[in-house]
Amino acid sequence: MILTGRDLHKSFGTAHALRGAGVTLAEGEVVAVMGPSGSGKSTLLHCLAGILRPDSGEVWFAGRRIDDLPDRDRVRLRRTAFGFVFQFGQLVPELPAVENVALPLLLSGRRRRDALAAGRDWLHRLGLDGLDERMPAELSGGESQRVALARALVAGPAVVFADEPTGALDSVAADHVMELLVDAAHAQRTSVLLVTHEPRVAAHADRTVLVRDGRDTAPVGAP
Amino acid sequence: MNALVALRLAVAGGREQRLRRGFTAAGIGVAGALLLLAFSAPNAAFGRAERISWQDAATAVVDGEVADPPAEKPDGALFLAVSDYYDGTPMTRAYVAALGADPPVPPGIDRLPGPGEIAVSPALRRLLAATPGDQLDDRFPGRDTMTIGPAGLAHDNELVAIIGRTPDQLRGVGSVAELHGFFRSAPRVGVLTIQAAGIGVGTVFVLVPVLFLLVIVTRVAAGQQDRRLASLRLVGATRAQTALVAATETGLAAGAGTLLAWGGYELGRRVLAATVVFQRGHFWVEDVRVPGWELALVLAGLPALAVATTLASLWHVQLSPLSVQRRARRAPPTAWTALPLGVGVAGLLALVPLRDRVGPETLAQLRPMLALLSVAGVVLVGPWLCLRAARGVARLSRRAPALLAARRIAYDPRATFRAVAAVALAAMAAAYLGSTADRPGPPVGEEAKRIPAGVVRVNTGGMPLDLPLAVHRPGTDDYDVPYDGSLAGENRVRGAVAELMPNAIVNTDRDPVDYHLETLFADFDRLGGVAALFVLVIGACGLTAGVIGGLAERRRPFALLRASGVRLGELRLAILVETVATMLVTSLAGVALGLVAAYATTRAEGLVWTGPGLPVLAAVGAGMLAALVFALFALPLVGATTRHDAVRYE
Repeated sequence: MILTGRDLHKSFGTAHALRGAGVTLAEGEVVAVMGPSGSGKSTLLHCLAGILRPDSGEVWFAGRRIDDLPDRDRVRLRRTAFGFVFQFGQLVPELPAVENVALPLLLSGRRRRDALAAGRDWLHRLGLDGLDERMPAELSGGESQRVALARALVAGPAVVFADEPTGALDSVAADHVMELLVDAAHAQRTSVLLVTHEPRVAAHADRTVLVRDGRDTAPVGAP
Repeated sequence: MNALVALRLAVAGGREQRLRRGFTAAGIGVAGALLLLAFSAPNAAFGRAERISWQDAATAVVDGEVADPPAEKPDGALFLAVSDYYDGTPMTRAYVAALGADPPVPPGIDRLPGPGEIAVSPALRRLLAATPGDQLDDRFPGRDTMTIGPAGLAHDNELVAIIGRTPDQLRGVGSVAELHGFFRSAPRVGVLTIQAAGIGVGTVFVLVPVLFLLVIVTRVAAGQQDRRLASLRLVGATRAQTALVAATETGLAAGAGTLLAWGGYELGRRVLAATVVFQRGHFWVEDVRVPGWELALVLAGLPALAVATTLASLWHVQLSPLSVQRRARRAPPTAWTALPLGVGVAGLLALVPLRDRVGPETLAQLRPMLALLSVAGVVLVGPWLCLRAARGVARLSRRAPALLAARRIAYDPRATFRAVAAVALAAMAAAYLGSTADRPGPPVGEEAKRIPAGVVRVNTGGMPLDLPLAVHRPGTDDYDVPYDGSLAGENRVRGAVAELMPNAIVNTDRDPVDYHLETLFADFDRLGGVAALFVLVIGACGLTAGVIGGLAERRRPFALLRASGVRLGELRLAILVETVATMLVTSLAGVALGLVAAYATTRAEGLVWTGPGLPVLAAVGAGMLAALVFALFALPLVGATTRHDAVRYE
């Protein structure tokens, strides 16, 4: 398993978001986490990705426990091994599309020319030719999510975490984004942990985990 | 929707809204207090001059013409005021003799001292008590029966005495005038014109940074407010109703801010009066104030301006609630925006050769107008300069934070400039105030008149001086009296001269060459320093508000970048580069304009401009650095405001 979360608990004040949830993710596998609003699925994703530190339980990545790492190391892990797609608002509004995509590489110290070339390549792979210099405000919702997808994948992460990546899109655009995500992930053996409440989106995953009241329940599908 | 509903919506915004309103109120409080204190400067200068205008009763020149003192009393008085020195410190001896039962009385005392009586200022009384009698008593003869109050004193350290005489003692003494009243208002020409010119232009330079600060704090985190108002429009609120809610929200904050401004001003003017030393003394707190109508205007104007700013920036919400989400980018600023600045600067420089062709009144009217045009020019050209700075940073950037900064500036150079405008304008004002009216060069022939050590020089106005050892200087009205070089020896000679010839002008090498100009310009430099510090405080506040405002606008993308693994330090570095690059470029332009305006103001008054000097430039640089450091105290907020859980439920 590339990523494992076990018996995770997380509270915000008196609100218990996670009460023993867990999930496993194999290399190259696409897993959807489903559940109703407030069930704790986003909190589970944030704990697995090292954004939040669980109150108890364990998170293992590539054979190494990561939930007890100091914040600095978890930040490094997120920028080098993980990619992220959120529902909306993740693109830096002042950067054109190509620089938004290249940003993880630039932050890792790659030469600007190389980073931008990689950014253009990913825009091309996701069908966004000609939109390199468009600003986020000039992109449609579907285009924005595809740019975000390119950004999540550009550095070749081991795992992509996608939190309601199609939540702001219509069904056609949502299907298109999911197809691109799954194809790209399979192509470069990237695992994907996908949080969604839409069965239509979850259908793109290899496996689905249900979360209810902060606990994971029986898996719906099998790889 | 009525006002009550608007009020309820305005106060029911949650913690974020309360913080925003608190920030706006604090910003308006600071801006208003600083504005009122800046407006107090002319009153402080002229108030001081008015308090001692009675000393010029016999020789005053008002509005370029010789004027008689007002006739207040039927009975007259003989009057003579003489400048004197003690160890280089100026003193004033005023001789008076009543010509009837109801003579005019100078301000600061209740009645005219009779023959053998003397009224002294508190500082002179202390000096007389601390100095051996043979050094000063001859110059201030009589019984000390009265204290001159603040109404007749420029400041608390002024050395002045009003010496009572009989009419016979003063008749026949040169320069003695008969008058029926004393001036109560200052002649606003002569050396005061440079102060007036400097203060007039300086006020323009201070006013604009304050206005910028006001706009910034009013529009802080405006995106969130716009979204709230747009959601109201989406559910059917009319334009008027939306405007009412926005005006109520801003009005509440601005009202609180105005009260803070008033309190800050009342406190600030007392602090300034107690701490600023100008021409050897502190200001009277009653002089450090704005006239009542000005106070009322500012206190009413602050909330009005804040509300107007909010309503003016609502246009895109009013046009269509959806324009908050999808807003077309404005065209980038072009080099043409430099045109008004060019015209303003050229106009200011043209005043120098035009000085002799246009009168002082025209000059005084043109100068603030051209200064205003130049300041407006800086405001217009600022975004273009920011854009150039962004392109420079983008070209040079090797790392992502610098690229983020460059793109942010280029994306909206107008917003970026708004954040640093207060510092740029403050730097301009500081450079101007710190280098206007630099010390003039020695007048022609001044070297020849230098007084050697060990000599008291007495100008008798052509009368013979019957004093042992006095030697007449051929071709002049001066006599040189040698003495042992000690302070005591000098004062004994001065006392002897005053007894023989009260109106004689007596100097030694201890005295400033020209007291008025010498100390005026030195003190003006110091006052310029205070003003520079003052406007840089405005700049620091504006910059801090700009940094916080920019951060509030970008909470979500920053937080999501952090969640994606971007380090906090990288986000802080991006904000730092963005702030420093634009602040440097625009501030350098501001300093250049400030120096040009100072040159033009000084030269147009016929004075020699010797440049700002290293101390002024160092002070401006240090002030900008301090403003930056002050503003960067906002950087720790990056961590708190971009925490992932902090924006998740935004």
